Amino acid sequence: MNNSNNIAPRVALLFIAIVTLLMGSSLYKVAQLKVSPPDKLANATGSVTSTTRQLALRGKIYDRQGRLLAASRIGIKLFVDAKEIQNVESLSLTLGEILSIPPAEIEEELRRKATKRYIVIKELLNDTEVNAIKEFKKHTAQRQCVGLEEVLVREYPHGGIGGPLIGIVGTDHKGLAGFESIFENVLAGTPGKFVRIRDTKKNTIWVSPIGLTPKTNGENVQLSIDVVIQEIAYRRLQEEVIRCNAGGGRILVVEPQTGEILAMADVLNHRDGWTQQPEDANRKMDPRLGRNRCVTDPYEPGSTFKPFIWSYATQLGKVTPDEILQTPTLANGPYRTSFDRTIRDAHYYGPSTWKNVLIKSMNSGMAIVAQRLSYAQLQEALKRFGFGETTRVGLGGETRGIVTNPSSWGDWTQTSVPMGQEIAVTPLQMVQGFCAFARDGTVPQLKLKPSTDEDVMFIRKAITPEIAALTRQIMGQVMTEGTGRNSQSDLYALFGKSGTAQLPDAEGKEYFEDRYIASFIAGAPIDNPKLVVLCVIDDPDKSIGHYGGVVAGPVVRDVIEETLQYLRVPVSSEFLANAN
Amino acid sequence: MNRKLIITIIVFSFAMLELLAVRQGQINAANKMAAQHREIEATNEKLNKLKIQIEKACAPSELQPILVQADELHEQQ
Repeated sequence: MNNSNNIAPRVALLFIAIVTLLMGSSLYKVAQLKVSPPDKLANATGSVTSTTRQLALRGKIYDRQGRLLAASRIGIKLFVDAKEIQNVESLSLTLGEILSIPPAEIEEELRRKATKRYIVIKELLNDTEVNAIKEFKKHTAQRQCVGLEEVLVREYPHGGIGGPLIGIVGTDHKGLAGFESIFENVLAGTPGKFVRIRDTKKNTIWVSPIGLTPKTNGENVQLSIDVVIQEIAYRRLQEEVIRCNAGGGRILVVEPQTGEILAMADVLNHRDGWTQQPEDANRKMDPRLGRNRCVTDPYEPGSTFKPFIWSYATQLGKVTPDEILQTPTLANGPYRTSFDRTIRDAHYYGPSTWKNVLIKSMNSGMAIVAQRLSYAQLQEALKRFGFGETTRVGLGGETRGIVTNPSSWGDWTQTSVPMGQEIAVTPLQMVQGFCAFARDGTVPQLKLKPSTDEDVMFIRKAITPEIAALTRQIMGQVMTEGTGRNSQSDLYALFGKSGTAQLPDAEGKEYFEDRYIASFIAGAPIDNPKLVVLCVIDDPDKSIGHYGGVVAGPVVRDVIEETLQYLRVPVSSEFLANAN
Repeated sequence: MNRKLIITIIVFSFAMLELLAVRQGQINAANKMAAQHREIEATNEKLNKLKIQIEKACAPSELQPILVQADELHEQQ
């Protein structure tokens, strides 16, 4: 009994001693590992945390139907740390085989930058190359010198269609041009970072909530552009520019009821041996960097400008559509103004109604009525349709066009402007003003994003709904009896106007005698307009054709036909009746 | 007294072991979460790439020549 009483304390003491010894040795080992780890474990006992940067994706750009126009993805870049290389020859040979790059080139690069710790071998690897590099890193002693880095890549699935319009991002993934630049604040994401605790195999064992900044991807943007309409407009414009060997061309497609821009294209055509063709140095660097000439470059509209003054003069009651004006005959032409200016017409029809002045595009008739208006009234007409000021559509580099200052306005200007001379407009301004005829006489705000029923608004009332409908009807006759005959559609009733203006020289002081800007603007269907299309052909080869109705008109007609069919707008009833 | 001490040490040791097990469980869970997060990111990225490829294949400029060919074939027939 006594023995057993004596043994128990001893066993207990022994147990406590063993436990204390074990704990002590554990503490000693921990301290030793922390303070002076053996060489073998030195790497494993290094920093156990690492900060990881998370790439934030830039927002996507969609067209009005939800088709992807621009999207970012994560790509992989290959770099080499030259300091860690053990055998340059074998590394170059292996990388060369994987990447299909001559190994000698890689070797030369690595030797040339032997002290650098970050040498980019290839900016963007494909999936096969990434897998091959990962496999190589698993089985080589040189794994430390090869690194894969995630980078953001911007993709444009529709290639060059709408290229300059959509724009481009730079190496820092920030918008440089086009919509990429306009919507930079919305599209740009915020990168995130987090600190993670790793085990010796670099597996994450804990993510510290301290220092955690979640990434925020950029927001998506939906545009009013429709990529199918954009393709139709671009393709047809490109064909015509090539066909008539023009210096360039521009086209704009707008939905007049909402002011939404459905398509906008700008083509340049370099012709050897030609001077004065539109130039854009930025496009040589990248076509997407080019300026958007629909927004930036004003042009002389010529006769396409006549409907604006025709409608406003009619509204003021200065003339009625059926009033006969003393326009010259072939025998007594050309017309001479009261201040002895000679006004020439393409054809002389003799005394004509005001209606016919627009249908036959008679400069003399426009000059006669312009002299009945005061300077202020004509200036007011320009203002009402939005000429001389930007459309505020939000596209970079937009210009206001050129309108003569009221202080310099004289009789010459008063008779030039109604013919579309001594004035320069941008294609944007032109379609915006023309939308008034396709609506109730109000000029809509042009938009780059699809609108909802609530935000449709007009910026000013240009003419009354009755005058707008009348002008539209007369422009319908332009397509059947006037300068638009070549551009009449077999499917839809169009209303439009052609224009042919002389090309100004580089200084803008003189005009070329035999070089022109041909344009055509039209809307359709005439009874319920769904589209307004403007085409400008810059400097077409005169030997092929230079009249707006011949060169630009068919482009407008084709684009309207294809687009309305795409939009499932029924064919005009009169054409259906004819077909039956 | 000694018996109480032994029991305390044994209970304390078990408690520590249990705590270690819980900690290891947490580490395993975090590790698994990180791996799954990486997998989700990779799948999202794969989807993103596929979307871009589909969009490229369905671009009007790609489809136009096919439609023209189909029309020609239809007319021939």
